[in-house]
Amino acid sequence: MTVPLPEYLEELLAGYALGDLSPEEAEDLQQILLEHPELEAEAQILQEVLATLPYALPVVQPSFQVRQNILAALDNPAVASCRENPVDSQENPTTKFNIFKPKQKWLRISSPWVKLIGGIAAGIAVAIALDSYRIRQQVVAMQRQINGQKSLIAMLQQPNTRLVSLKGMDPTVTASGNIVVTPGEAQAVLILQNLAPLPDGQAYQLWSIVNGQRVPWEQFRVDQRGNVFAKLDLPENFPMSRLAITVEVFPPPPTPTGPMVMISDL
Amino acid sequence: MKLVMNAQVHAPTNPQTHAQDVATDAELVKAIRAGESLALGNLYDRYGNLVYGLALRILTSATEAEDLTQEIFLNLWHNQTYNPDRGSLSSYLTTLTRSRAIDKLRSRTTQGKFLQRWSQAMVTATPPATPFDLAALNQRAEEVQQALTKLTDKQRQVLEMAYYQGLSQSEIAKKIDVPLGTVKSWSRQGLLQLRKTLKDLIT
Repeated sequence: MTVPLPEYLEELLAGYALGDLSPEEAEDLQQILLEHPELEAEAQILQEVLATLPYALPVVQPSFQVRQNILAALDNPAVASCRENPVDSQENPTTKFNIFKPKQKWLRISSPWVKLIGGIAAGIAVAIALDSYRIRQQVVAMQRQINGQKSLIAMLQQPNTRLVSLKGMDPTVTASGNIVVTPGEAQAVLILQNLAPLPDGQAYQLWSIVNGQRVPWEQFRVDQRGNVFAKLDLPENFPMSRLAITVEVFPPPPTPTGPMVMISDL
Repeated sequence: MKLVMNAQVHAPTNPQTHAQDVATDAELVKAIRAGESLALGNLYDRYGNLVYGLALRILTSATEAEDLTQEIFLNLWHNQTYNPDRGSLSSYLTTLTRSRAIDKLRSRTTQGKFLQRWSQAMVTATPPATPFDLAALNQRAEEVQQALTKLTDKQRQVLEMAYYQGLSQSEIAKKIDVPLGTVKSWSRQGLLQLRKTLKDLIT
């Protein structure tokens, strides 16, 4: 192989650092590095250069809690025994060669049982240490659910709150539930169960039937288990009367077109 | 070798000072391996803002960036994968942070495999220890900012899109509507230009 042009070589090294070498370029570079192993240092320097980019970012500081959490995790024996799988133990798939193969690390443990227990402990510890985001999300979701239930309890404590029961039209389906309405409140709460989940593009439509006329209220969908717990906007002077639920498309039609699945007891 | 850190740019989150403030990164890493948690706190004060700033830039969520910052420093404590002989600690931390942040981004947006390849490549190839270690943090920031101004807008744009958004060159080509070859050329030339400008810091 002829000695490559410096420009081409520079391009290859930059391409390697950037991870954008074509298969042909990767082969070329591999060959060049076999003949000139001293060039590996230059490839590494280009990666060091790339790794300096974050220095140009605006200075931002995490909350002080982060530092505390880190140091607190060290005091936790479960976390302290944690040995994550090293990230850099993965083989570099960017190119067919691996000139920077990291040193293999082995746990100095002879007994497979100890290794197994260590693995389990590590898994637990990693879960504890790293899943705080997921846990926080769950807490937020639960908080939201509790808040929703609190507002429902507050509504039920009102002396003039009405419960409008809804029952499924199909006797083989045990769909049931209530709409909780407090006169003067701008929202009602809809609680239903055992309604079939609908395909995309369809939704349940709530109607108020006044003198035989159906006035559309709101559309809603149920979760995978067929439940819904939703707050409905209740427009002022909305004619609360007998209620019905049909299956409709979105956007809702002015009059019912789909099958009626539930009706209120009033 | 003693390294006096001037961490004004990435100011310590804990203003406490002690003897380890003037320790080199390598000395602090050694102390971590000896189980000295104070050393980890010291490295956090030194690089916490850098790691967090990068995580925030990629993830654009303060909560996720804080979680990742925590993860990175706990990784430093628990995993002895950093080898001071093979590169600077700051490069190791930014490379690992970028890799993990983009992993999270990808799991959020299910972006392509190319990204995974690059982020892994960035981690497998730890750069060597260099006199770069000697530069104070604020000096590094100024140098890098200055070096970036020497790039053309296009070079800077494609480098930043690849680095912070984890986009492949072909994805960038589609996004900014230029041929793939042009994007490759811009990013490679941009990186080489940075290398030339920063040659005094990285040799």
